[in-house]
Amino acid sequence: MRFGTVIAALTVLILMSTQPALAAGGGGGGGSSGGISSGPSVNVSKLYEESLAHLQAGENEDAERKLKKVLGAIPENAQANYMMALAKSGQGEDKSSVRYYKKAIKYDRHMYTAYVTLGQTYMGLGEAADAQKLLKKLEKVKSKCKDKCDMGHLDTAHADLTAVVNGTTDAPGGQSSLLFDRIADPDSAYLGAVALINGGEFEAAIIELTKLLEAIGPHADVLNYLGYTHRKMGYFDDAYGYYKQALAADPNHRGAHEYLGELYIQTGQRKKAARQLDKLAELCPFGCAEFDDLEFKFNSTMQAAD
Amino acid sequence: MPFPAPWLLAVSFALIATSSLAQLDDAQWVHPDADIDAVLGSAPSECMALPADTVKQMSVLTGRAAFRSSTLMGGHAARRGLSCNSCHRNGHGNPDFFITALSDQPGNVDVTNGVFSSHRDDGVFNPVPIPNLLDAGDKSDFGTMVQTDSLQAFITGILSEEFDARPPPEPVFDGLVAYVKALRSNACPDETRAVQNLETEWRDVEAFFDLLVWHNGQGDSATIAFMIGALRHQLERVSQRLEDKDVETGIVRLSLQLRQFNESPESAELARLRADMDRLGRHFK
Ligand code: HEC
Repeated sequence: MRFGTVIAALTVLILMSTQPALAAGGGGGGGSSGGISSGPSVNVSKLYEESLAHLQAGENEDAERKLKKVLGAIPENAQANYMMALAKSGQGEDKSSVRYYKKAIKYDRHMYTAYVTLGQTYMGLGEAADAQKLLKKLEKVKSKCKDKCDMGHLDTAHADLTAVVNGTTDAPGGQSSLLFDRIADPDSAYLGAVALINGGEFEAAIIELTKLLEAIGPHADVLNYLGYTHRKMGYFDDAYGYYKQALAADPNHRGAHEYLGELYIQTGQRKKAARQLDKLAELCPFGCAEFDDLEFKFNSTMQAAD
Repeated sequence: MPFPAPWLLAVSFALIATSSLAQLDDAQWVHPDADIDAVLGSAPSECMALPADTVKQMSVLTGRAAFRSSTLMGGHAARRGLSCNSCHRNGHGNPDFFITALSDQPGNVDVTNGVFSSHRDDGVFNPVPIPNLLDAGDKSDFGTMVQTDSLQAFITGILSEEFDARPPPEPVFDGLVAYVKALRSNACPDETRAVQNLETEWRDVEAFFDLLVWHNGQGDSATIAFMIGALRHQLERVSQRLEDKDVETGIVRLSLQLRQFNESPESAELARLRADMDRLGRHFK
């Protein structure tokens, strides 16, 4: 992983930082150059970041209020669901937190921390059978890991959850340790992930992009690249989920329309691909690379099929 | 393989009336501490020595258009609206250029990175100053990071490896080489800086249109398509500086007509499009 060293040098993970990491948009002068673009998803992203700060400050009700808005816009966002669960349990509402943990896992079966916290919650509620089932589920995810899983974290989560289910560890620990890390310079982290993708290191890119997603919330650029990397690795359903989230965060995101179109071409859904092409023509009155490249792929696969 | 990254700046901001130049594509590369309006309101003067021969002249001007168009680029660069001119402003360097993670100080950039390229990532953070291209045509070796001994080979490398671009049509590539060769220190005007505003951007719209007409006469369809792309991109640049929504509508219409012309070209159409363009041009003079 050649670029890894660069990322390590540039990406400083700051736990519990209260600095808003990504400038809240408004083209240019936002303190970042050439990094993540500033589309409408910045607003959702900003709400998310504020929620994370509230959670870190123990302001669970404020966090819940803002997370409701985030989830209203993007219900399938695993990270926001997970944080909502933490906000609920922070207010002593363990029972209602379960639903959000479950959604977090449903939308991202690789969010290993959520398995552990959900397991702890089940045990706290006296629902040991559900905790057992959850452990089975995590084991199934592990057995199906091809090249995608972050094995270090998965093994830790598996050990933790096993201990929870066996009653060899305590009830949920301090909430702050369960929170996502902030990222000091998201633009650098983002460009680092782009470089990994360009180098074909999709698995490493997914890990970096997921960290970004956790830190800055549902940003269309990041979600779109998660779609791309999953598609390149053959996880079409996951890819579709990320594109859908990207377009929920920003319905006019050119890149997400382009890649969703490519996914449709790859899965033989040409009519749907054509609709993405129409959408791009509408979004690019002056032409754009997204349209050109999707059109190129659309036409070349048609010739191949004829 | 071209590798894309998404962005939306141009469209969303074009519709918002504002007097700042922050909505221009090139604002993305201006160092955050610099004054965007000052930086993008002018540029170092272009020092271009135009050959007398018409065919050679058209070649240089075609290269000039390509130099300013991100449609020449592939991948992340094309999607971000980056062109040769973003770095080499009017053929010079760009002391205000800055990309987070690729620059250590304004004016420098790491050209062997993986962000723009799937070929040239050397895994090291090694930004170098963006050089002035004046008289580069006289040199016999190019670049410090990836060295080559001919301008052709160097530019081929930039396009296919550094920016993941599909090879441009031959007349466009030849034009690009001819343009860089035409950048001469003895061709600089007295004024060292040139204003950049709606009027000057519109002048390029007209110049690119003339080129389109010329190439249309030459009949190479790939080059015609390339010129239409460059012209539409130039119209976008105008629209990014625009505050008047009515004019914006006219510009979008012209761009869409050009797209239609690309799909079913008839020379008669071009005369009509020129009339439309001239009508719009009154707003910029
Ligand atoms: C991201 C900024 C950037 C872009 C875009 C860019 N360049 Fe450059 N260019 C540079 C840098 C930096 C160097 C110095 C590289 C080195 O020292 O190896 C350079 C070097 C050159 C040189 C060699 C100059 C010399 O004296 O050795 C030429 C010629 C050149 N560029 C032409 C172009 C053309 C043509 C394009 C568009 C296809 C282009 N550049 C796009 C940054 C850029």
